[in-house]
Amino acid sequence: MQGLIHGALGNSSAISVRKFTLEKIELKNCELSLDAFMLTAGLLSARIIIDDPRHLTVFRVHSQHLGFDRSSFEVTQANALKIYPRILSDATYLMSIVRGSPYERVIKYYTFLSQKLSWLALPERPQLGDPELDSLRPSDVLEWVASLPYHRHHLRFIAIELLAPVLPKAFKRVLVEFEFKLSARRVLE
Amino acid sequence: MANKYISVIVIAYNRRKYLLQAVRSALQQTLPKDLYEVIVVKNFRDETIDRRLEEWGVANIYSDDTSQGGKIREALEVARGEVISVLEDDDEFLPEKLAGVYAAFKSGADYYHNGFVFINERGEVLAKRGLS
Repeated sequence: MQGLIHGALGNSSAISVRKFTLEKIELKNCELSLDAFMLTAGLLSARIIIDDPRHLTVFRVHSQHLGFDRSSFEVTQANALKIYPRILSDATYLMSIVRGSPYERVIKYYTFLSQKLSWLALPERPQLGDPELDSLRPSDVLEWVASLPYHRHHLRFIAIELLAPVLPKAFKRVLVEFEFKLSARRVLE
Repeated sequence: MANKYISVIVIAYNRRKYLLQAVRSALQQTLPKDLYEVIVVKNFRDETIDRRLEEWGVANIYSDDTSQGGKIREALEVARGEVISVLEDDDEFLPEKLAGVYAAFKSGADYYHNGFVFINERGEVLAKRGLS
């Protein structure tokens, strides 16, 4: 399941669903995370899930793609400040519709918690005005531990993911910049 | 007009560069044309692109909705397919893609995901997800 989700997130062009599954969710709440919306909508309604391993979609990585422009640490940070608030807004809605479903934990980790941790790791981020999003809470740590089976990151990234949000700004910047250099190709893994 | 089984929704926001390549890839499928339709939703008008889409018989919807979900919702209002495949303006389908989707949903699938290839702006393969 985590392989399917890891593969689906970031590439909505590789996903197909029945039309009625999309009509059952509030698409107007989807700012940027169409992949996560299609995945969540599909999983909530799906009886049969097919993960076709054949390479049938081409995903182009280019400089106009905010999520993939890694030309410098500063550019990555600036793009992250633009997109994370919208992604977190999307994720908050998705959390409200997966609650109680068999996919709650895995969807919560991939679409919400990992995004929130990345947001909190940004050294210069503004406050969003939502206590749920502006600080690391004990429940986040418990949820993160509970979702360990779903993590596909290397161990070095797992440590950084949980550590960075709680560091002072100067240390955070050093750690996040180190992670940026370390993971220049992580997006393609 | 006959019902289609798959609606391919191509969404574009500001970017023009790769859009026609994306649409062409959706039209050059091994799946028979009468089984699917292509719908483009974009937030701009472009004489060259719009003329080409018309020549190709592709539905062309203008939308100033900035959200991805809003654009999909507008396309769903005209989509005739039972199955929805999304194609972002900078991605492409390989020729067997919709045949794979068709076979999966005809066999009862409700959710389908396929492997994919990362390429750069020069078309060089960077990485693959899925099996070779």
